Amino acid sequence: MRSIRRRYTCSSLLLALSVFCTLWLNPRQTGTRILWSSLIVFLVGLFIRQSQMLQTAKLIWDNRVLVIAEPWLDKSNRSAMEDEETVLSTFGMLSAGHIYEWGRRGLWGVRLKTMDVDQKKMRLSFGDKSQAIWFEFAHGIDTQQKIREVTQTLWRETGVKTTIQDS
Amino acid sequence: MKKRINFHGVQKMGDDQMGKLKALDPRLLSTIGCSLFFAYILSVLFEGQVLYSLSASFAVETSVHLLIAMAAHLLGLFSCGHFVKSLGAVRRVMIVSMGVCVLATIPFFFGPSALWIVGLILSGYTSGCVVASFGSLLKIFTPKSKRLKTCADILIYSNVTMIVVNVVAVNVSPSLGLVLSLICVMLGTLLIWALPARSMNEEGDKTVSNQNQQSNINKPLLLLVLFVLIITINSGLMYQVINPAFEHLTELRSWYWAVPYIVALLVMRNLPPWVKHSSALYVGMAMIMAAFIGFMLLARNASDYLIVDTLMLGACGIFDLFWWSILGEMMDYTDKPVKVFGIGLAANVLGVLVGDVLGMRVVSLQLSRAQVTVIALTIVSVTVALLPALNRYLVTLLKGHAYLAVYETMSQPQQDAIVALSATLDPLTVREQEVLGVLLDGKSNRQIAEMLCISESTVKTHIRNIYSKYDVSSRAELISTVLKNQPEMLS
Repeated sequence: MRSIRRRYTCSSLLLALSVFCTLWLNPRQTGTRILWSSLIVFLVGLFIRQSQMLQTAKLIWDNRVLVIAEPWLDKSNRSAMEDEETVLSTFGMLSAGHIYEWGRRGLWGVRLKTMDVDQKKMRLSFGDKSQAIWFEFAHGIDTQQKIREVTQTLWRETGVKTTIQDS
Repeated sequence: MKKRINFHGVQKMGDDQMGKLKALDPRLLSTIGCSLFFAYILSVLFEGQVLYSLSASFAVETSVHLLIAMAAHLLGLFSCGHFVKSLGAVRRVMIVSMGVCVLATIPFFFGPSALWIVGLILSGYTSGCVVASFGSLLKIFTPKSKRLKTCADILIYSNVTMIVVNVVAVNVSPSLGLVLSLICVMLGTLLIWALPARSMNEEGDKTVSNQNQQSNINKPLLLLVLFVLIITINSGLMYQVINPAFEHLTELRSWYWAVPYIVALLVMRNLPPWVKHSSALYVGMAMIMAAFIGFMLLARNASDYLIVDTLMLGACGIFDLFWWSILGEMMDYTDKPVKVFGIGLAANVLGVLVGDVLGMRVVSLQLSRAQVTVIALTIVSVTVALLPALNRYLVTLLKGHAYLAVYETMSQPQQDAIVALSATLDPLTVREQEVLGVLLDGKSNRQIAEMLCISESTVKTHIRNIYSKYDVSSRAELISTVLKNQPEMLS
C-alpha cells in the first residue's frame, strides 16, 4: 500500500512539474511544443493509471480479511519487497507493491476460485474463465480458531469455501 | 317481403363483418382506432391545417378559437379520470365522445357562426376524454414489452393520416379535408366499438379487486408531468419561432412538416434491444441545438426548411415517444389508468400552450432574427439540459417506488422468500445478500455503507457484482427483476 501511494504521489508531482515547466519555458518551436505536449499526455495517462491503482488498493485495504506482516512466497520465487505487508481481502490481494484483484467485475471478471489452508500456508487460485493463477504464502496465524475465523469471513464475503487441511 | 329479406341479408352481412373485426387482435384494433381519432385531433383541433384552411377560406381569424379548443381539450384530459373510474365504462365513454366530436364538427361545413365556438369547446372536451381513456386500452390490451412499439405505432399512424388530410385540405379543398377527418373519427369509433367489451369488464373487475396491491404513484406522476411540460414547452416555442419564417413554403410544409417526426419515431421504434433508449435523449438535444443554430445561419428557402425542420421535428419525435413510453409504463403501477394518462397528456397540452405563449411573446418583441433565435435557443437549451437528469430520477423513482412501497409492507420471511425466488446467474454471497436486502429497503449507497459499516466504494462494488449476477444494468431494473414475484407472494 505504501509503495502504491508513493507511486501515485510521484506521478502527480511529475505531472504538476511538467505543466509548470511547460508554462514557465513557454516553448515556441513546433518540435519542442510537440515534445512537451507528448510528455504531458504521457504523464496524464500515468497519473490516471496510478490513481486507479490507488483506488483499487484502498478498496482492497478497506475490506481486508487478513494482514500478514511478512512478505508472501510464490511458486516462481519472485523477489518480494521486505518492507511491505501482505493483505488478503474480499476484492483481492496486496503484496510487495503489487495488486491482485478479483471479485470487482461481477461474473465476467477475475474471481477467487479456490482456497486451501494448512497450519503454515495458504494457497489460493483466482482468474477468469480462460486462466487461473495460483499463489501460496505463509499466513502466520498461530491458532486453529483464528484460521476458522478468517476462512469464515472469506466465505461470507466471497462465497468461496476454504479447505482446511490438518497437516 | 323482398325488402325484409334484403334487410336481413344486409344485417347478416353487417354482423359478419363486425364478427371479423372482433376477431382481430384487440391491441391492433385499439391502436388503429385511436390513431385515426388522433389524426382528427391533429388535423382539426390541435392547430390543424384543416381548421386553418377553413378559416382562411372564410377569412376568419381563428387563433382565439384554437386556444379555446386546446383549453377544452386540456379540461377533458384532466377531468375524464375523475368520472371514468371503471374500465368497463371506458369503451362507452370513448364511443359517445367520438360521436359528439362528429356532431360538433358539422357546423364547420357552414359559414362562421357561434356554433364554431360551441363545436370547438365540445369536440375539444370530448376528444380529451377519448385520449385519456386510451390509457385503459393501453393497460388492458398491450403487454408491457410492446408498449413502446404501440405508442410509436399510434404516433406514426396518426401523423401519416394527418399528412394525407392536411395535403387534401391545403391543396384540394378544406371541406374535403374536413370530410376526411370526419371519416377518420367514424372509422375509429367503429374499431373501438369492435373491441371485446367482456374482457374490458373482466379486467375492470380484476383491477378493483387488486386495488390493495396498487401503490401510490403521485410522486412519479408529478415528476412525469414536469418532464412532459419541459419537453413540450420546447415544441410550442419552436412552432411559434421557426414556423412563421417558412410560411411562404405552404405546399412543402403541408406534407413535409411531420415527415422527420415519423422517421424519428420509426428509428426509435426499431432500435435494437441493446441500445439504451435514454441515450436517444442526448441525440434529441443535439438535434434541437443544431436546428436553432441552422435557423440562425441559414436562409429561408426550401432546402433550408428541409434541414431545420428535419432536425427540429426529428428531435420532437424522439422526445415525444420517450415520454409516451414512460407514461405507458406507468399504467402498470396504477389502478386509475384514465386519470394518470389524462394528467400526463394534459401536461403535454399545457406545455404546448405555455410554449406558444412564450413564442408569441418573443416574436412580438420585434427583435432581429438572430436575437429571437438566441433567446429561444437559450430557453430551449436550459429546459432540455434538465431532461437527462430528470429522466434518470424519474425512471428510478417510477420503477423503484411502486415495487418498494409494497415490499416495505411485507414481513421479513416474505421479503426473504421473494429474494430467494428470484433467479440469479450465480449465487449471491452472504455479504451481497445483506447489501441487496438494504438496497430493497430503498436506501442510497451512502445509507447502505453506514448501515453495514463499510465504505461507499465497497457498496458500489457489491452492487455492481449483484447487477452482474442478476444480469441487469441498473438499480431500477434490479428492483423490478427481484420483486416481480411479489404479487404471487402476496396472494
